[in-house]
Amino acid sequence: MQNFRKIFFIVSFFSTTLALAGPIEGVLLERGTRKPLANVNIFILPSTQKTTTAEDGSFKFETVPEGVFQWIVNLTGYEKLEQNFEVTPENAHDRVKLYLEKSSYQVYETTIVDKAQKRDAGTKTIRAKQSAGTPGSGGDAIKGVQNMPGVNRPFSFQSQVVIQGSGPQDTRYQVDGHEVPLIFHFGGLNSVLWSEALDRIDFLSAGYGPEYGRATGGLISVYTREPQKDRAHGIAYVDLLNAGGMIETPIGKKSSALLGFRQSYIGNVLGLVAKNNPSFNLTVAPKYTDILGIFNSELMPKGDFKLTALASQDSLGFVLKEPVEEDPTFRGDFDSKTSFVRLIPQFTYRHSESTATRYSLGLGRDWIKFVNGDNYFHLATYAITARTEVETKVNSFWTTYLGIDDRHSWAKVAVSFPSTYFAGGVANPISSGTKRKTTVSTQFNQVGVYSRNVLSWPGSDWTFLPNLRTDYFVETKEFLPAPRPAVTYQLTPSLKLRSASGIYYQPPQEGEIDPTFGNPNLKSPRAWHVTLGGEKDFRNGRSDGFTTSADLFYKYLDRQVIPSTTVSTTNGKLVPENYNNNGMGQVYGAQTQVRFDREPYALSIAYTLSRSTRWQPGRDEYPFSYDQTHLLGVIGSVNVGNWKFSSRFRYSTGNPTTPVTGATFDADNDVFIPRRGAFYSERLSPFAQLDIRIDKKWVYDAWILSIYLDIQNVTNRKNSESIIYSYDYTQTSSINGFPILPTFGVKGEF
Amino acid sequence: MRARTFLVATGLLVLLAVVRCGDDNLKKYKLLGNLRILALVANQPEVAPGSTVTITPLVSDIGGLGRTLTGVAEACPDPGVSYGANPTCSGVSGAQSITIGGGANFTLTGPEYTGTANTFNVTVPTDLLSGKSTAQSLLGVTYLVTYRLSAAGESQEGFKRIVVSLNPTKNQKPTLTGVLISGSAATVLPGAVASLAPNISAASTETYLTYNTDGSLNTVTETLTTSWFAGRGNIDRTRTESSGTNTYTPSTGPGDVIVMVTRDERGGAAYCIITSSGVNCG
Repeated sequence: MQNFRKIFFIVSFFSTTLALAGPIEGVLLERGTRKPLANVNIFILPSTQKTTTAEDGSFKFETVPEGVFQWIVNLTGYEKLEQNFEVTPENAHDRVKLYLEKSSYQVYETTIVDKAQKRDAGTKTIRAKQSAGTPGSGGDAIKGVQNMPGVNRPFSFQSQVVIQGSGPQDTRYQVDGHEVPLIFHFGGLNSVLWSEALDRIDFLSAGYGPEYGRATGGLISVYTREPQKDRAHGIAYVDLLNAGGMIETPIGKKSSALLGFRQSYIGNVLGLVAKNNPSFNLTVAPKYTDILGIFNSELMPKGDFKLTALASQDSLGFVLKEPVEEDPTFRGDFDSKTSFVRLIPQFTYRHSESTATRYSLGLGRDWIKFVNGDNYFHLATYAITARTEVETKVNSFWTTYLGIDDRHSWAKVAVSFPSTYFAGGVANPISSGTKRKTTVSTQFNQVGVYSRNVLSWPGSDWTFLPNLRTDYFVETKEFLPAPRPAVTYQLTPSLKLRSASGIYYQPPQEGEIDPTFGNPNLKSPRAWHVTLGGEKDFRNGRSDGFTTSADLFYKYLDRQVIPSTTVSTTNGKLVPENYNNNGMGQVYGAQTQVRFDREPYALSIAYTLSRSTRWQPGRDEYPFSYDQTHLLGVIGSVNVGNWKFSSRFRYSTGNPTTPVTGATFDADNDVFIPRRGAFYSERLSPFAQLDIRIDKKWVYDAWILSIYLDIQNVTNRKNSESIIYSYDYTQTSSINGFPILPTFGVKGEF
Repeated sequence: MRARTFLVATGLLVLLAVVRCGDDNLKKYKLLGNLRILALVANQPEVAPGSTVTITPLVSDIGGLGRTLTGVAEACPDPGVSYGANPTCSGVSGAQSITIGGGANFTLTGPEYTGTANTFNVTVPTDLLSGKSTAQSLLGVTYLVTYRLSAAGESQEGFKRIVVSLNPTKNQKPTLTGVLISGSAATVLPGAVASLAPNISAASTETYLTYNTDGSLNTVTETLTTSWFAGRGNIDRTRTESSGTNTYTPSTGPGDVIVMVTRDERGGAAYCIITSSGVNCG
């Protein structure tokens, strides 16, 4: 039998030199992703014929002898392909599929900072694909922002981003340039957007440009990507928190669409854990749902259309078995639901090589419901945001961007809640407040126009940006010009210096100017930013090596809204002031990031040294609640084939806290009113956390299976996040952040 | 976005409150031991300008074993405590020192060392509503009464508000007549595990009018809440609503006591002290 095979093989082999089977056609694809590989040389041995793949990966050998031969494909970044193939009269005309496997399917960069599409030198852009694999992110790309220099560490359960010592309320979130009410779900577990559907996340901090406003701290601007047009793609995943799926497909030759759905089930797990809790019964387990759709089309030769649709909902409910001991207003049932939808159509028209116009709208509704016993807060909002921008290259040295950034909202609010005094990070019991009730329909209109000018003479190393933005806030009746000049200087080919400054306004919060709960005479808080920095690339044109950036920043804050205890008699009625604009503050600091990339290793070190303080009449300058003197983040990773091992270490100075020096018994409401010491004169212990992550991919011809294990706080360190008190404030304890928290996920994609 | 901030803040408060529920390391509200003010009971929680109100402090000092206690009171126009002002009359225009009937010093008798301190009278100024609108005068303004209870090296401060109004139907304090065990009035502290309920008269739950922000009137019914305190034994729940029951588990040995304080959410309060020798309500 064996001899017969040998004879057959010899005969077959010689027959290849004797008989011609004709042409062979095929396509060269990347294994797992099925991405066509273009301009790749393919050889066949022993006849040493060669051909090159076309743009769609297809190839053709005109005359291939019948019999056994070997495909040879050798491409940098891929495993060498050496595959035997037998040509017979039966299969000679079949279309061959060759799969080339990448050396590694793991992304090795720690944090990609992209220079493309950056209008401001100081803007940090994170590529979503890379960011999602960061240890501690749980696969969420937007959480990668936490690893940037200048981003303060939020509390473990917090779902907001704090930028360079500003307040959480001073950060604005937007998707495709349009404001959304929230970017993270309850507790900051996950963002509301699929990481796989994102292109990039822009992080705009001190000195950001004129295109955006209404945020004195900065912006987190998330951009969705265009659905792929080459073929159908799909992703399905499941992890400990949620599960979801996403498909995308071309529609004709010029359009494509993407649809994703995600549902959490963490609430079911918590429900089981809380089943026998003596304090409360979970009635509606915490859960969230996200839906995302994207449609993209080349409507005309010079015009592109894109529609992003997203919907998100968070809900939570529980019943307290008895009123909370320290604040009996909290009793009975709790029901909370937050949801929003947005439709964001975008149209770009390129008039000529030098002129383009971009139009986009954000159409949506927001709903917030919070009910506790007979206290409630209901909000239903219609929101329209509109952006229009004309980009014109006037001449060889001058490019302008003229735009309108508009926001209108119509809200119906029904509130019945006691007023709460919150100062120095210490809240009075809600039970001691005066219950207030109101139902109002109101609208907010904020119109901004801006002009960005980029002046760069040919041959000059200087670029001047005399930018200006002007806002009009209808609710405060304020006309607010805000110059934002910037300049860059290319000192050497690898060293660029930059400086930016500007004035920034944001309208008071809706509740702060409400006639019942706030002060309708408030003005908009203001911030003055100045930054000076640079970036140095040590790679000398290579793809690996060191890059670094460093910035100094200073922010002066005035007209800040602070709570007021003043009560006056107006027209015979007692009127509390609630809030005034007497708050002031400043933030200054230095931040740096050093990155090293050399496959298979990657390392990123981000460090920020800063001081953030506030002051107000009657109180000396005191640290801000997010004043974190030292912020250090180190991320490292190594790829071993299709394994990736990565780790993140974070350290930050403990947050300042206000000591409670005593308390007075409120005999009417059966609670204690705290007496505050010097604001933020003490601190929590420093925060330190080590996270590790292991990724593994199995690559098949037409799909990829991935698993990951992400362990947060691997040392199980008890990081104090907040102080809690006994009912009379004479004893203290602390709330710690997440203990060791492993997350396991499986993902399949094609 | 700002509403979101409000909810985040409220959510954090709720989270803290719920977490605090489960922190066994912190002392419990319902357990008596150290020097405490349990209630400041006014014979009339709402009065007309110029009226005199009698305040009865309900206090406990089981650990003090009958030492001399001192009570000091002041009164003043409310500086805006509900809006965050410090609950003190110090530095407030129109503040007055209050003379304690029977003297500032007093002692509590054992073995429970829980009871009432010397009462005192507060006369609210006649001009408290001058300059106020008709609506504001009907709603009333608050007059603050502060009370400082001290012993050697220890003190506690408390306050209550007297509502001063021209409202013809003024709030009355609840009527608490004792404790019920399985529907029957108890005369002494039960010697075995028992389900207790406050004996509150039906008339105690009043309805009243409030103004909405648009000037319209709103009828509200009071919610009565009873706070429970125990000396040596154990009370299952810290607070109950209306006639809600509470489980009491006695502890062997002398000196046990249960205190109930029923409040009407408008400054009206009543109390009962139940010991092995009897029930004392006021």
